[in-house]
Amino acid sequence: MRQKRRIACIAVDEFPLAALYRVEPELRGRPVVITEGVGPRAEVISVSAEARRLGLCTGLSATQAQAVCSRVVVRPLCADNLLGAENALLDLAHSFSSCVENAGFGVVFLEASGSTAMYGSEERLMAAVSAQGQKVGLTLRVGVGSSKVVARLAASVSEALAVPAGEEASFMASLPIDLLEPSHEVALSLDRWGIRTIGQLVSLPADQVVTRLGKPGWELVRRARGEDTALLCPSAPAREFVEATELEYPVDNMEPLLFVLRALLERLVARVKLQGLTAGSLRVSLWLAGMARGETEERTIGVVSPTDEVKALLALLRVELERKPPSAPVERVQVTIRPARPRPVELDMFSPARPSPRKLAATVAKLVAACGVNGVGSPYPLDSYRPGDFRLDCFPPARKRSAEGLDASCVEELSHLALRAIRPPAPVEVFCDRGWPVFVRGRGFGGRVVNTAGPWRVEGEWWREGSFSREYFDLEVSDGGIYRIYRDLASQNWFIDGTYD
Amino acid sequence: MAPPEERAQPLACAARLALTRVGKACGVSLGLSPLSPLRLGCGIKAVDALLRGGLVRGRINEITGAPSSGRTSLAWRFLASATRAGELGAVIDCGNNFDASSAEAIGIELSRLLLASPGNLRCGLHCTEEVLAGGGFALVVLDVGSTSMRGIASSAWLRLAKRAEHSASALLLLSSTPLAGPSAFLSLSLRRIETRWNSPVAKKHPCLATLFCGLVVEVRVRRSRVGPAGESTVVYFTSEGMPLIACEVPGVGGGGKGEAGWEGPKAAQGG
Repeated sequence: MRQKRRIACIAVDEFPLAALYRVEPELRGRPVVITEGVGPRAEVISVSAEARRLGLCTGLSATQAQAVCSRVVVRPLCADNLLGAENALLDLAHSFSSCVENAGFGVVFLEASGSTAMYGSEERLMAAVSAQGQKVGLTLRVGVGSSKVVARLAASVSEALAVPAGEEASFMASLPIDLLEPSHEVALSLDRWGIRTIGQLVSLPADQVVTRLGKPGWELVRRARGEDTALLCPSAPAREFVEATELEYPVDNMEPLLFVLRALLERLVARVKLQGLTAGSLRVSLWLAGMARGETEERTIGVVSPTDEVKALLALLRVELERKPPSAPVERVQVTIRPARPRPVELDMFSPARPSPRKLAATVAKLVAACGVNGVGSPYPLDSYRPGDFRLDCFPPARKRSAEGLDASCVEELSHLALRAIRPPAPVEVFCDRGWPVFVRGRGFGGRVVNTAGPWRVEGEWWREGSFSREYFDLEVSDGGIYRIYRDLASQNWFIDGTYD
Repeated sequence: MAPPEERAQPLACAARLALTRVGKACGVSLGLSPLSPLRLGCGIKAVDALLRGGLVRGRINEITGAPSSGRTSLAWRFLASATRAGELGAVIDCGNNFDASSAEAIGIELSRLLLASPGNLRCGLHCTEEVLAGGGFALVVLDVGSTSMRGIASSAWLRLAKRAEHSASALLLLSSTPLAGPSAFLSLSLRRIETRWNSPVAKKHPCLATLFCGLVVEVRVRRSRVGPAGESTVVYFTSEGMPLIACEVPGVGGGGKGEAGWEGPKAAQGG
């Protein structure tokens, strides 16, 4: 049997205001208006419930609004806030369904049939959507119905309402006709006829309505009957997560800038977490004072161990910005996160407990922030003839290496001697007698050679640039140290590259 | 008829009986990973016996010694033991002295080792704190190297001790001089007794000695909060590539059969 179509509508009331609350949550509970335009004649387009109680409404100018109530907070409409809130809403919808349509201005539709099966019931699905909305700083209305119109109406009249299949007509009958958003001319005609509710419109003979109102009237009747067979126009999930903000005044100090960046990262990470992803890399775009329009200063920071911890990501940003501070005060900042899938780690029931992958990733990210990208990882000796060559892999390594799986008993009773490398190899002065080192002197050490082993000749990479040819010696020196030194046969210079310890 | 004390406290007696028959609840670990021992051994029997099992988890342990005293070799043995047992280890390498090849030869499972090279001690202390706070590492080695101690207050070690206490990790400081002072739970000092070269020929004619075999090292407990200080043992660390010769050296002093293993200088031709 074919499953009945169910559509969910997620809507945000007073979208510009909700976008502002997402950025400045401390404004909740205060009288706030949002204006569009410049200067004192800017028009109020969105009013909070507290401001409405004080007598403010849309259409006033900013000056009039402040005259009505002096303590009202007036904020200009911010495109960055709107875009961020819209993207957050889409990310939230994509975390519930792969088929999501963006209807714009704080309204999205999504295919709810599959998601409902996953959550058990439509009520649970709506509760989950509302809970996720709180995580991204949005207060949501959710409606579920058999068509987009029914779902939208359900979201308009209640914070969470599911209209069961077959009960659409009884649900819609008592709703005001304005909720269907008829055109101005159609609305005037309906008002003249005394039609106030959707039920009254449905009860009229459809052919008579079409004769008098034409095609718009027919469209309205169909919507009033809940007949909406239009398919959802799915939008693709975000490949990058972007948040930006315009600063009130140019910032020329690191601490205020980091304060702004922290807020941006918190909002971004909340969105990334919705998708079950982590931050794979960061990109910061800075609009600096005095720069030409459209020009930005960009920094890309790779996250060695993908993480979703704000503190670790902020530390990475701080290190990058302190390494190369912006050349002028910052007027606008945008942070982009390119997501990465968290690395799956299968924990072993019979081996000692390990930290959770997320916690470990956060620790590694903090270390990277302190030591730099090339200073942290899991060492891996390279298949090279150059002594001491190794690279740092990400930690923990993605692939198991060959020796993995050995147990403690494999550690031999025999104890090998460790070498403490000196990087880069330091030049030393060596006095030789018939080709044998007899006295050695370098930075921080030196003395008569007591014992010598060698030479061991090592050559390699002759097939490319950077070939080397060396003679290695182990020396016991009268200062008490045992060193590994070598003579570079190309330059005949001596270097020390390690101490046995 | 039950004994009088059982009649007086029936609940306590029932609990005692249940514990006797079933075992303590905290000792039953169904489906959980094995509990980590409180000590972290190195696999060298003499050293483990000296340390009553090994380094202490949740505490600062310290290994000190002059250059070429074997301190790094001993520290890496502890790491090898931990990583081979499936646990994670971390090395905060302030002096950028870590050599992966010799660490692997000692037995460290490098895929279970996190290496961080902070460049200075101040940053190294910060990294150590972060690793301890993150948790999950059996052994965290802070290799101070030859970095400057200037500007490091003694309170830093107290803070590290506190961090270590709240984690299940053993913190091991590796330095040439004692650093942590009273914050260290266990402090070992290493001293080289003898440097082994390959044969009596080498003893007679030092300039002809061509193989470095290893070090004989004395490990002494300088300070311990659980056992007596001053006890010591002797360990032999063999140079990489000398296992056969080293195996044949029976103990401290004397060349033993190792003399027969002399092979002369080798020429390793790369490429």
